[in-house]
Parts: sequence; C-alpha cells; structure tokens
Amino acid sequence: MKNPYAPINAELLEVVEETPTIKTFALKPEEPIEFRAGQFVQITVPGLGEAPFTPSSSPLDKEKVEVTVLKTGRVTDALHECAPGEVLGIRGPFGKGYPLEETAGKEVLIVGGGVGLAPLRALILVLIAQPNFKRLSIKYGARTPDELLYRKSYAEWDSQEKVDFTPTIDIPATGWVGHVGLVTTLLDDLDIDIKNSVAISCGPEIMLKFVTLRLLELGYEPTQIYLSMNRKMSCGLGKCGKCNIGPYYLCKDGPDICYDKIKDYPDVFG
Amino acid sequence: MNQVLNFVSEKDLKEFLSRVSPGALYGSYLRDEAHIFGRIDDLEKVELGLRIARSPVPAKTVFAPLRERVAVYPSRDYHWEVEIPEESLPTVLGIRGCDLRALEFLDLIFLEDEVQEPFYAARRKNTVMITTDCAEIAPSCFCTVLGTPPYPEKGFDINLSPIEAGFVVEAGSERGEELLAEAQGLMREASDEQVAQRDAMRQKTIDALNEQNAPYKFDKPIAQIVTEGKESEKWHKLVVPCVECGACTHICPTCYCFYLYDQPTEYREGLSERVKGYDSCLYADYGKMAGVGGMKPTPRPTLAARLRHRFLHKYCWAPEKYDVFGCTGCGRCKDACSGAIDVREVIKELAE
Repeated sequence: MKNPYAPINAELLEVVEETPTIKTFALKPEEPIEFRAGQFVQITVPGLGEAPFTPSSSPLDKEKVEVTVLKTGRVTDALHECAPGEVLGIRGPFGKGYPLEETAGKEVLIVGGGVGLAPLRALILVLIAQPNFKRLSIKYGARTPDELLYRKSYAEWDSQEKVDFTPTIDIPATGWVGHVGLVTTLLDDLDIDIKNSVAISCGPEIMLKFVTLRLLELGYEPTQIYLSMNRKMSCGLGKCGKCNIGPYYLCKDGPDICYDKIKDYPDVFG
Repeated sequence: MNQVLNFVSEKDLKEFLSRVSPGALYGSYLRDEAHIFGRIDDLEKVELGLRIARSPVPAKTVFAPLRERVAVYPSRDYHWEVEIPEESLPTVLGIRGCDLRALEFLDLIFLEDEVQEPFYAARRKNTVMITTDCAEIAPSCFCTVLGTPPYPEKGFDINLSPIEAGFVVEAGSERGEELLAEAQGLMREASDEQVAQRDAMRQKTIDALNEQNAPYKFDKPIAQIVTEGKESEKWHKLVVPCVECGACTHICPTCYCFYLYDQPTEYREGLSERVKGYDSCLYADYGKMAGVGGMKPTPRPTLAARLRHRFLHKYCWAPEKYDVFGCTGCGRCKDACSGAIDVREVIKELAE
C-alpha cells in the first residue's frame, strides 16, 4: 500500500520569474504524476510543510509538472528561495478538475484574476490542444501590467482560431494601452451566446464573488458557472475537514465546483 | 446472529475478559476515582468502569490518537503502516452505545471512501470491540434526544449488560462468537429473569434520560431547527461564552478534522516527518489560507460563524450526506467547555 501522506521526491528543474512576486517552478517527480486540468497537488518544502497548488502546465506534458506560485506565506516564501537542482516533495493529484465534459460545442468564458490565471493556463492549454469548443473567450485582470502572468503567451492564445484573449489592469499605468478596470468590467459588453455558454473562473475570493454576481446578472444560470474555490486543502483525501463547503469537500469534489452545488450554503465567499 | 444470551458473574468477569482478549487491552477503568479510557496494563489490579456513566474521554482516542507520525521523508525504508498480528488483536473494553455509533460515523469518513485513512483503518478493522450498556448516565447525556438508545444495538463483537451480580453477554459478530467459545466454562445461558433484569435496566436508563432531557423535547426535527436557524442573529449571543479553546471538538467522539505539520524527525538525522494532530473548526487558524501579514483569508472570520459551522456540520450536513447525525448525544462537549455551552440549550434557543 502507498502511504497517502508521504510525498514523493520531485527535482526542481527550472525556476521562471513571472512577476516581482510570482515564480513558476518546473518539477520532475520521480514517478510521473498524471493530472487533469484543475486538479491540484501538494508541494512539500522538506521539513517545513506542504501547500496546495494547481499545476499551470499542460496536462498533456507528461515529463514535468509546473506550478506558478505567489510569494505569500511560510511555504511559498521558502519555495521562492529554492533553486534548480533542489529536491522537493509532491503528493497528488487530488480533486476533480475543470469540467472538460461541459465544454464541447460551447462558448467557453474563462475569467481569471492575478495568480488565478495559473490553474486556468492548464485548462487553456488543454482546450487549445483539443479544441472541441465553439468558442473560447478569456478575460484576465491583474492590478498592474507588471503583475500580469504569462505575458508572452497572450498573442499566441489570441491568434488561435475561435479564441480571444483580453487582459485588463486595475490601475492605469504609463505605456499600457489596453483595458483599464476590474476584470468584471470586461464582462460588461460580452458578445457571447449565454444560453450556450459555460463560465469558469479562478482568482481571489472577492473577485470570484463579484464575477459570479455579474454573470448571474447577465443571465448565466448557477449551473453554468464553475468556480475554483479558495479553501485550505490539506490531506487531499476528503478527511481532514478544512476545505468543506456544506457537505462538499473541495479537495475531492472540487476545487473547481459548480456554483449551483454550493450557492445555498453559508460562508461560500467568506 | 444467534440470539442466545449468556451470563457471566462479576466474580468471573476478569478471567472471562482475559480469555476473550487475544492481545493488549484498552478501555474503561477507574484511577483515583477518575474514569479513564485507555490502556489497561494489569487487568487483575484495575477497577473496571462498566457500571458507571460513559468516560470523559471517548473511545475514539484509541483508534485515532490525538497526535501521530504519519510519514518520514524522503525515505524508502521507513515502515509507516500499522500492523496488527491476527493472533494478538487488541481489545477495547467498555465502549458505550454513543461511542460505538461515533466510530460508525468515523467509518463513513475514514473507511467508506475511495481512499481510506490507513492508520484508523488498521486499528478499526483489527480490534475486538467489547461494548457495554449504560446503567448510569451523566448529567450531560442526551442520546435519546437524538433517537438513539443508551446501549449498543449492532457493530460490537461482544456486548456486556450490567445486571445484578454479573453481566448478560451477547455476541454481535462471528469474531465475538469465536472468542466466547474460549470462555465457555465461565458462562452459562442467561435465565429469563436475568434477561428481564437487563431489559429493566435498559428501560430505567432510558427513563432517566427522558426525565433529564424533558426540557429538550422539540416540535420539529433537529436538522430543521438548525437549518432554519442558520441566518439567526442568536449565534452572536450563543458564542459569547466560547473561548476558542477547541476542547469541545477534541473531546467529541465524532469530530475527525486534523491538521498535518512537518518537522525534523528523530527517526534518522537529515530526514523530516509529517505529523497528524486533531484540529478544531472553532480555531481562527483552522480555515486560514496563505496571505501576507494580517491578510490571511478564511471563510469564517468570526467566532459566531465558526460555532454555527460546527452545528450545521453535525446536525444538517452530516445527515444530508450520510443520513445520520454527526453527534451521538454524549454531552462531553458541554462538560469540556470552559463556558459550559450546552448543545441542547443551543438547539432549544434556536427553536424558540
């Protein structure tokens, strides 16, 4: 039997500085980890602890697992100090992942905020590689141009057939000619066939809340909205209890979960 | 199951227990008048606690200890699995109905799932379960309010019902039947009078519970009362005595939340270990996620929201998911609470 709590070794292959506070870490687990977009892994900094991250690399790339990490706490601070060649730990994958079965023939709306584009990149890459959708519209916001993730990929994504990508920043900046305003403002003149659409969002909880409210105003049904919920995932096995919303455990039933399932439970958006 | 009931006398009880316990013995005993639930090293010398109200500490602690090492890494030779030899199964003695039902609830989370919790699973499957009826009750006991009786109905290997001068013995499993065969000479078939004594003792306990809990007869199902009370302002008042110590969850036989932490290990220098310990949903840190400084987000920043969460989980979401309460009515949470928060009173307050 495999110990579900023990991490396996994963060599750090490469570290890419994405923004002043966000880095992407490419890891090679000693046994390959096959994941679906949206499923998450627990990364261990040896002796210090583990934290959950949803891989940002394509699930089709079986050679490595990439995670894009905001420096924001004990484990992530230590991760940011790590250099290629170091050996970390990894457990997973956990959870259900994004509802890829819901995208066929649909107009897929992706709404991301800040480091929330990381899990969505895995989804975007797999959708672009297997384009069963009718359309893929990506709206992404960060506070400043410096904080936009994966800037080099935007032109490539936007140039794909049936795909459009629109970034926005919250605060005007010199040299920025794109949209300015919160990511919800990109939803104001949405030219999407809402009846045939599915919306998937990942970002800070406060953003998820306002994106959800806006989507509902626009006519999306709760069943058409999927959210990467922010909870403290730990064991990954649906046992330690911390990631619940009502009777659901996001580490098993999520972390991407249909809004319709959770909307009537308290404390959904904190 | 074969419904033949036996009787073992008080005088023969310890000899009987030593014959039906293949390995180490855990359970209910008295030490300096305190009711302990734990390892019994010397059965001969110990005063057993089979005729009194349930122990302050639940039987859960034997199957899921407060803290244990679950992994050493990176290591290929660390032997992590709990292995219990068939021929020396440990025995847990004196598990009350509430604690047995609590273990059955924990089974739903730890066993009956895609991935089992391996430490609990090993102990739970390889333990002789000797249960007992409650001949006495604690002032906080309220199992009957939740519709469950003060004695085990199923899920035990052997049940002991205290009566005059001994115990009525019932086998509840094949393992129980086999173990009782080891003690044949010490038992005789229970007489009709002895079975009647058992039934009368059970009814007496039920009557005492009903009398004690007369103020907690609710017009509506408890799940409905708590669900309807979820937006109530009363939570802010109800939570005032709470000092966020986590005693209620630690002492609760059905609470299962845990946290994992890593540290250097004594197992071998240079390696690390992962430890699993009880967590509490009342703690502010319980749901706290990464964030800078004082900006660590949590879904339940107020203590009132956390207390409500505990009640919703136990009385609404557990029944919604498993068709059973996440509470057995043992009342230990009230006894352990510095502020004496009584779950019965909370439900009553919400019902009013």
